[in-house]
Amino acid sequence: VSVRFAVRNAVLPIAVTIAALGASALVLLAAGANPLLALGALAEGALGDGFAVADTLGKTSPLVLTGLAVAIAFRAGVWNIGAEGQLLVGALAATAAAVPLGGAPAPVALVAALGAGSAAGAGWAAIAAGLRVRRNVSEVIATIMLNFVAIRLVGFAVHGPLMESAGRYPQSEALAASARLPMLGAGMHSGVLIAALLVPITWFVLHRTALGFRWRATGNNAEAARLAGLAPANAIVSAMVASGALAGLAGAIEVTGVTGRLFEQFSGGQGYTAIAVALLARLNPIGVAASALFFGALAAGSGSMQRVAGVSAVFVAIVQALAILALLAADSPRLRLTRQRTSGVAREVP
Amino acid sequence: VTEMLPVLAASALALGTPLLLAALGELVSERAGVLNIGVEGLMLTGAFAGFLGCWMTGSPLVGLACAGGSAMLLGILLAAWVVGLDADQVVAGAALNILALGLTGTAYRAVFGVTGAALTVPTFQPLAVGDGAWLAPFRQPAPVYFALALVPLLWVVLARTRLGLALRAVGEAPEAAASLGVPVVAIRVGARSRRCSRGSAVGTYPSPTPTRSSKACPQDAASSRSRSSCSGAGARSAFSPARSSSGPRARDSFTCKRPASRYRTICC
Repeated sequence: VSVRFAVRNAVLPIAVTIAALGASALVLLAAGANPLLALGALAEGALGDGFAVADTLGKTSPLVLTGLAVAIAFRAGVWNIGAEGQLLVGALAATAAAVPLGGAPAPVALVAALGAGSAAGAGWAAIAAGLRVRRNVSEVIATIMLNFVAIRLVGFAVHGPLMESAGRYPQSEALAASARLPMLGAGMHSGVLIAALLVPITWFVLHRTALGFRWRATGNNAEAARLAGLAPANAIVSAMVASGALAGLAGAIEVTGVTGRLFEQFSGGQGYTAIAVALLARLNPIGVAASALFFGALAAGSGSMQRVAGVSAVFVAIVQALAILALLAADSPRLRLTRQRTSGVAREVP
Repeated sequence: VTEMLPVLAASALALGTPLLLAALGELVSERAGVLNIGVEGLMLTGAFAGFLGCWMTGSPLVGLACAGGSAMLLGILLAAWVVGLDADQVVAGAALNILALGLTGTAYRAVFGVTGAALTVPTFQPLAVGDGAWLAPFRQPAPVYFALALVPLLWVVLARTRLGLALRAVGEAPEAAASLGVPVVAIRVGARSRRCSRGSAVGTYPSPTPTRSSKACPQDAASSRSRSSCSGAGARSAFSPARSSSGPRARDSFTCKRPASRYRTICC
């Protein structure tokens, strides 16, 4: 690990994040709020005590999984904008698998739910991958459109086949306790561990296996990969399937760990936030964990900031955007802060 | 059916106008080779600034001006990043969307506080075209006619003027355009800010439906349609026949870089 690598992938993003926080303090001043009070409340809500930390980690884990999903796809040169839809069908499939299995022994329903969620996410992503490979349909459009289909599909399910038996609200039956992820204390579910475990695994697959090499080769230069006999079409499909499986797992974990049932507007846009998470992490799996933690802390702290300082909770979006813009500026070849362009963030649209 | 038809046509026109304006704006920037993912954020900003201007002065025209001005400011910011700093425009555009979401939300609360009731402002009145039921499709506020008038106008500019030719040349072959003395960067910045003000006009348009705030609305998708058709061209330019035949070993070609270009080819 060279010094330049460390500067480019760790020091710079952290410095940029601090700069973004500083710049957003100016926005707070302009909005007539006390920046110290607001940012203090933000930090308090994110890291103040055990429950705040648990909240942060709980909000981080879906972002880690979807962030990894986006990072894998982008590294393979496939612009998967569909993590949102893949997360939703994952949650839908997990609910559909877990509800009828409510009476089954403890691990069966849970494993079935998580498995079904990943499989459904993978299948959803495979639609866009197949269209791209077979028909040369832009995966950007296909995945965005499939997001809308997934939203309606969840709506249909909770108004129809999966609606609770009481029939009062458009939501699914609550999952049986045997289908829920075990809690770790302080209101934190064990899905956090699954997310944490998948970070090194994804890194290993991406950087130390032939499969990961194919993905990266395809992403760096699909034509060169083809000439080297690497079959970019296969790499695109496998990367999308892996990406979709991770996003689907995120949905399954949200159902079995957090909400306990499926309803409309199930995802708060985590699939879209994941794109920002992955880009801030420079598409590096380890970095995804760090940047998801940052985004998760912002999400967890935003509520307390709104209560204490009277600043709208969406203010944290400004911090996120400024962090991305600042990182883009720091990467700019015109400014020469880093000598070499990174492959992922600064790459052109395929 | 005959009674429903005019009403249907009227609401189709009314609902289609925001899409039309945004799509026209995006068209200009796409033709200049600039892909704008941030159109959603610009619409959001335009909607907020337009509302604010209208709310403070009571004049929809001032609102329209505020919307155009605010989105143009954001457009200049985006151009500074994409053209000035040579940043990736997909990433910068996505960041702009997030920024607009945060800025408008924070500003809304700072200006209006917490209100349960929806705020209302005076809007453009529908033109008085008579009382007949079949005239319903024509009973639209002026911005609808403005948007429709822009369609042929834009076609003439793009297809039949020097400026339009320069704009399309910049989009299709920036190097060639530059060699003939067309100011590529200036055209792109111009196209971008033009489309930004166009997109923002949507905000002030008194639409019966609230401006959508979803993070990826269909316009975004439609705007990136050109990409699939261009992907083949991108591969070709990266590996022109001369280049690929001169690179003897496939393994070597992993290190092959795209031919250095002063201008980023945007959709390819």
